[in-house]
Amino acid sequence: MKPCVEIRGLAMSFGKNQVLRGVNLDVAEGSVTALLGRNGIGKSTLLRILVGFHPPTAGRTSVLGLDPAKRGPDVRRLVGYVPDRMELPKWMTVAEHFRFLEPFYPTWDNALVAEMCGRLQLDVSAKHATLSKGERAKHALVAALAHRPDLLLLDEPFSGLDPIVRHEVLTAVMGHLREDGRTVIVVSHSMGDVERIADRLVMLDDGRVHLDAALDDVQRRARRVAVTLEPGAGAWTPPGSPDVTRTGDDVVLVYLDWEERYDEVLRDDVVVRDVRQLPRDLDDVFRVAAKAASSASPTKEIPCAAS
Amino acid sequence: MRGFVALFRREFRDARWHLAASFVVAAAAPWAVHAWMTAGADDEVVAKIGGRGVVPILFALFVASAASDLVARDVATRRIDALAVLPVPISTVWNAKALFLLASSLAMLVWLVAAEFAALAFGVSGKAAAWLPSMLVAAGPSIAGGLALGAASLFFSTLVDRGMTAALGAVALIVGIAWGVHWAEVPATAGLVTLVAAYAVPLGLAAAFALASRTSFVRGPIHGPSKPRLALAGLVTLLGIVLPGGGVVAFGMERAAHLDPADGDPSRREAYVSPDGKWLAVEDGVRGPGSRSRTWLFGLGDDSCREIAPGNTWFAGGGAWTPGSMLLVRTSSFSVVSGPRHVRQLEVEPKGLGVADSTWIPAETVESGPPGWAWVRTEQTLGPGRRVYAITSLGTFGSMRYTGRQVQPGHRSDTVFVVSESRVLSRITRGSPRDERTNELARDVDAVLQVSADDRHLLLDGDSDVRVLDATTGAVRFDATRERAKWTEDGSRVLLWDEDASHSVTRFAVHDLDAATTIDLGAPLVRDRLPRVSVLRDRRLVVCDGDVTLRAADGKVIRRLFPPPAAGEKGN
Repeated sequence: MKPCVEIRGLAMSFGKNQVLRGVNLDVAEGSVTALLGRNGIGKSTLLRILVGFHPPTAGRTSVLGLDPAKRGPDVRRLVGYVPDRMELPKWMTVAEHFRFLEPFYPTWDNALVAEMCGRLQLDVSAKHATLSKGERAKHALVAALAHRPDLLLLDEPFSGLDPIVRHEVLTAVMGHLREDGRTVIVVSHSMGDVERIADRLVMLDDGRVHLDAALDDVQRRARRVAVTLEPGAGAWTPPGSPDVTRTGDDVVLVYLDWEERYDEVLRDDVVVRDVRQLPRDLDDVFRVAAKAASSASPTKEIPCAAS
Repeated sequence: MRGFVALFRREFRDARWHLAASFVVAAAAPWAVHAWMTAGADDEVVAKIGGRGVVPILFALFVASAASDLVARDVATRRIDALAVLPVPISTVWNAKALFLLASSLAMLVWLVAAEFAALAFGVSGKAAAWLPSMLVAAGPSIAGGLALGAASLFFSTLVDRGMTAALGAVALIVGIAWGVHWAEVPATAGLVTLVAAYAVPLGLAAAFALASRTSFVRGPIHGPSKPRLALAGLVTLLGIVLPGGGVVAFGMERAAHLDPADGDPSRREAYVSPDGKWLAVEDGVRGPGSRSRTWLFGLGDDSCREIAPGNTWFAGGGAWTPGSMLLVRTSSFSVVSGPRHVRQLEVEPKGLGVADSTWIPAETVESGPPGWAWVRTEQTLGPGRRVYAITSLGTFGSMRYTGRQVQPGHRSDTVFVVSESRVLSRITRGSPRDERTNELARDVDAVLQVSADDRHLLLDGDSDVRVLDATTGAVRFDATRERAKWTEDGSRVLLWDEDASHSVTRFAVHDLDAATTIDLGAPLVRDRLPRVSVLRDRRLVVCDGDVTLRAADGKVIRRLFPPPAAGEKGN
């Protein structure tokens, strides 16, 4: 099956600042892909290229079979895009914004707008300028979903939201998306959110894809292990290549490539007094992967990379 | 299309308070100006200030202010991202903004004209309001200049995030361009080309700035992170239009003002001998829509021929020379600072053609010649042979009134010649405002009165005869029948000519009063105008009858001076 989004050798420079240096990525139809990476690494730029804001410096992209650099308006008609920040005129109410958008989309669905606003408890008579951060996020999401896009691009849609609003939005929006089987690419720094909605993780670093794996696979291969060493133990080398945090005799190991035999190796180690498996934490996975990516040479294999 | 309408409506909603305030100010401003600043002025002056001042200035202010925020506000507030994400080309967003600016500007212009008309009609007078249309027609290039300012403001609004900065930048750049055009001194004629350029330059600038804004907006792109790219895209477009466009306009105007020595209309040609008799100044030109003229200087001693000044030049109505043998030549260059034509009078010394003095002359007064000591300001008919002449004079006499058939002020002295109702010709000399002496010179005068340049003689050109009288005693110095007559340019000879039934000149001659001789000069080359004859000190003649020829005292042609032989042969 042809991927919904296909990116080959994508490079993007702003003057001397090369943000992307050869990104290769396929996004399957119906998948929810989380785009991860440190701040300023080019995640938002990648999304803006996909909606045709910027023509890439090099490489090729295809979104729903269209080249966004050449057919940006057509792509945007089929794609729902939630930018990291949406500003509207102060006088414009939520309802006026929806009325403003309607003529641009042949598939605009007012019934869906009403349903989503009801589900998210969004007051359409309120002016956009008076909305809280959570309400603005809801507004942006409804505006992006109202024309029933085949692909939804979310650029940190949940940042700054409190847990209650975040839960509301996630439940309502992702429920709707899963019902329709839409494809989603979401940029987020919240691993909790990613764990809840994504089925695939893509991590960018140094302008390239450094991690591209199914969420299940990452969860299966990632482990956090707490090890207590014998008192006075000196230098100690754990099996595999985990990220090691040692505080006295207590050591926390974060593995991206856990193998079951490591448990036996650890328990058989004479300087190890106790071994405990800790709950999985994708934040740690992200941190360790980012650390590995930034210290790796461009040609080095990243342990957890699926491809 | 529905999307475009939505974008247009968004711009309107966004600017509605600005529009409302602007329309209120535009309605009130003409009333305020005429109530406080033009109170008591002539109707024409009031209408001129309204039509050529208030309307264009308020229009330019509105367009510049409306344009300055049009893009900058969306960029500064990051609302531009919400527009860029729409499923239309980003150029559509710009088009909606530009159309809104154009539509609101045109609406404002109509509103301003209506407000000005109302202020004049109801606040000043109906006559002032009647003057307004002609003033607005004259203000056309200025109004087009307002559009250029607005487009420049739109361009800067695309480059910077602050509306005020954009407006100030636009004002600075447009003023700079206007002065650049002024200083370039591109020759400008009074013809159609200058009129076209007067509109083409501001409208061309408006188009160039608008396209530069569009290119920055679309190819920049405005919602992208690269400000240098944005500015570069616009500047390349701007320079790509303005430089060649300006070059084409300048070249076109230069070509329109160009005239080879042999290419002028002979009936338009004039020749003036300098008071010292050393030089001959020739003005050659073409009338009609392609009107243009050039001036040349001939050395009567060395046969040299030089163009007096580059570009479109002509001599003042009073002649080419000052009494001290300096040339007075007028030149006009294209300017948007002082109207389409910037007219200067140059005082040029003939030997090296150096400019001794340069004076700006308001374009509207350039055709009036320098007055003598007095001139007839108005005349009014009271009955047969009974007219009232109001004479304005320089100096202490001020305004005078005489009644009679004809009144003619002298050229130099404080003298007025009057033909009374009873056909008595008198000389009235004024020593002071209360001291007026009258000498009767002749009776039964039924001819057109002409005073010689030195005020020594009076020429009476009647239906059947010509007489020359001594202006002091009234003695007859010359008498001829059937011929027409006037003074030669230097006033030393009487130019006589015959006309056929179609008033074409068939023959001409000059009569020397001192020598009491008449020199027949034959048939003129151009017959639909009077030949011009000047007498040199050695009694040779310079005759301009289409060609300019140097003739011996007996009238025989010595050589042709203008067109120069080579140019004349080429022209033939």
